[in-house]
Amino acid sequence: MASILSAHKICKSFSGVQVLKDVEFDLREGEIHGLVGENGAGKSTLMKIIAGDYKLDSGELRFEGSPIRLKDPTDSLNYGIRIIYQEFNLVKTLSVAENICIGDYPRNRFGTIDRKAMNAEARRILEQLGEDIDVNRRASDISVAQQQIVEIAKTMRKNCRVLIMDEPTAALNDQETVKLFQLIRRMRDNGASIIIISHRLSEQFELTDRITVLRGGCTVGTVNTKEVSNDRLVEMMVGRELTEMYVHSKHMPGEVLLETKNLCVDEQVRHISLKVRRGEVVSVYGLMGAGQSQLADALFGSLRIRSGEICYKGQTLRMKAPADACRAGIGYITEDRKADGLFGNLNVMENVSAVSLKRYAGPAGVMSKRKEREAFDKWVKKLNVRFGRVEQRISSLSGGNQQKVLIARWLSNDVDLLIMNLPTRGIDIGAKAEIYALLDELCAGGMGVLVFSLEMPEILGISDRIYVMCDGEITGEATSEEATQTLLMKYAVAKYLK
Amino acid sequence: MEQNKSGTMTKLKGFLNDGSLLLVIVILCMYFSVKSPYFFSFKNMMNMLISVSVIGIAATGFTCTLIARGPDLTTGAMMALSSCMAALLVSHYDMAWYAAVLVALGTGALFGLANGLLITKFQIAPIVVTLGMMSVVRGIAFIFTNGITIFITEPHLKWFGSGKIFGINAAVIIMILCFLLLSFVTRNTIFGRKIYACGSNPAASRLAGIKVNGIVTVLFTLSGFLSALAGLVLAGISSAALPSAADTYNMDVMTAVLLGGTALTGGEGSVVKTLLGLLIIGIINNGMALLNVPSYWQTLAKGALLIIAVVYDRIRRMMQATA
Repeated sequence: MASILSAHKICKSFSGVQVLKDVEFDLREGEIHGLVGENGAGKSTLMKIIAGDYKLDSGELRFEGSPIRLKDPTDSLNYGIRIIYQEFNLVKTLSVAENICIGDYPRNRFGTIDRKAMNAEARRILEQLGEDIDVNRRASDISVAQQQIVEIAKTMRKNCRVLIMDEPTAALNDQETVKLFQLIRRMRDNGASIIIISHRLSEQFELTDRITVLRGGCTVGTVNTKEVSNDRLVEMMVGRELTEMYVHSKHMPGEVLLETKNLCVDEQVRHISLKVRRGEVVSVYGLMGAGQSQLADALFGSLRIRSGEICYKGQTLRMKAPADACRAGIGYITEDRKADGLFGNLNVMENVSAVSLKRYAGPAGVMSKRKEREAFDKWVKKLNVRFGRVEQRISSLSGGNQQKVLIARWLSNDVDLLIMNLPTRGIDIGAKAEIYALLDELCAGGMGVLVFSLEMPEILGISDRIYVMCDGEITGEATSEEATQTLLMKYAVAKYLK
Repeated sequence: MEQNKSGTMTKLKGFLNDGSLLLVIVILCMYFSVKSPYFFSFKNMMNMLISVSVIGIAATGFTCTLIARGPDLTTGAMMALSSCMAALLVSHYDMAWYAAVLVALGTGALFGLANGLLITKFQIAPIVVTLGMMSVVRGIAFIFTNGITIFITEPHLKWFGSGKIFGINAAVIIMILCFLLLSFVTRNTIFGRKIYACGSNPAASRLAGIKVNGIVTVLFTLSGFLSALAGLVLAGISSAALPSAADTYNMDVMTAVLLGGTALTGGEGSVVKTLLGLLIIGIINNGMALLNVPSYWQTLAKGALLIIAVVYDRIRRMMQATA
């Protein structure tokens, strides 16, 4: 197989920090090539250079053997290189169809946009993906997972030689992932060469022909997927052996922290009765769109409930705004930390102290920078948050570290219950293990954790108890001993079986 | 070859980021003191500060609303209304000066509150609300005064512009106090931190327990109050209140704030840097006047400055992002 795209001795620095050093990468025509690596290993940076988003400092890119120079993303598009980012590039105010056909709308004979053709084309592509999304809905109104489907549909529209996917299955559940894989293989059969960045090693093993491992901005090596083992791969990624992925020790559950009684949030999410006790990790599993996000938002006062009760520490909690939940001692990390978790303009320390500002203040609200810094140092050390300087912008941290910053934010506010929606979305394997260990530690310390997740292995690995949602209602509950993949899936589709 | 490029680029970026405003001020001062012997005298510097004091007072409040949500375009109109109210209440309605001042300031706060409530309760962009309110306020000023100029003879009202505290003009003192106070609040208090959070990410702020609507409303109320205060100073300086006054001041305030590096998109900015931006405007206007440059050129210079400010901000961001 000939090489279609290759990178030689690529170097790239940002503000004096070297992110890529003499990176070598080679993509053969017609192969599916996986790219793996830890926090800040440089995977996204390398792909952005290939996609024309960043300019390399030194080194060479070759397309079909000949050196090329990419000035901007249009250049790479001209070569047929397409990239789907982890954080999407949808225009939130346009409809699904308008996003899918963006840049090249079908015209009618008057030269204006042929909406019927556009909608039909969008529907056709979505059907191919096995997805049923109303093409007239605004991109901002559909869920995160559905937005990703639209992103993928967007690239499928044009013929592409090289397709780069950055964490493509991050917000997809198992069923969609299977469909996506079929699609990827079909695209490969049709002549595309594909690069997949993914932390889910099981998927890399299932899908790819070869895997390249990056670590600390350098290429560790490229292996044939069939010839490498999971352990060996992880070892290459972290430079050390990773024995336990899921840390889950049993703790004695304490008092009931959170209890909902017949909670009805909207037309879909109804009759929710669940409990979370101190010392427990309780997970809520469900297929995408089962209503997890609405439930999570309602539990934090971000969404008005229609009827039913939310009780916290035995007392009814009537919340008009998230501030009420904060005051009660609940913390919430949403599914999309970029949209409503992180403060992009603020630095790392300011992001951590955002909720607990009162604790660092004296009279008249004057802040003690010293107290703030002390608390910050304490928490980032405890959670092992990796960053350069305190004043660094939060957007320059890796996904795993950003998530840890958000956890630190709540821990520094003394919460007893932490609610997390898709807690390890877009986070590499090393950081995932750290977060699981952290959640376990928090429970040992007496906290309760409520996790909403679409990842079955994750849920089975870390939970004490599991609730399963299907189309807005809880259709099943299982302890960690009883739960199996089959059982959970059965509950998750319960309402769809007649 | 590539390495050299990145070296000079990093240096250029650093230069554009910190201290460039001060450098510009220093260069301008040096230029004008060479060109005119009167430039660096105490009297001239005082005049320059007086000339920017009205805009400066309003710019402090404007910086805060811009960081947290968006621009407050009612500033100019509010200056006119408050000066006319104070003048008219004293001269035609025989109100005591302190009562008139309180009413004028209160009116500013009230309209600011109206702005804040409309923006937060109905989630309308500030630029739209304040644009409409600007005309409402201006209209009220004309209705109230029947369109005529009111000459101010009450010495206490004149004090706002021409009185002296420890030998320094009251207008300048008021402006400096406003800058000191707001700079302190935005940099060192919880409230200040929340201002930046609201502007950076309102959704995340709400989830972090911050009362976004409350903060935005307070800031627009404050901006209205400060605009009214600026209006009193304006009336004091010119010893007259015109309903048509300050009609270009909106642009001047915005120029100073943008030149100081506050982003139009919010979440970033600095009251101190607004002061530096203000000084740049003041020095250029003052210097041009000393060199007998016709005043129309000052208008051109102000417009050019605004464009340069925005372009400069954009370049700075582009360099930060793509590196």
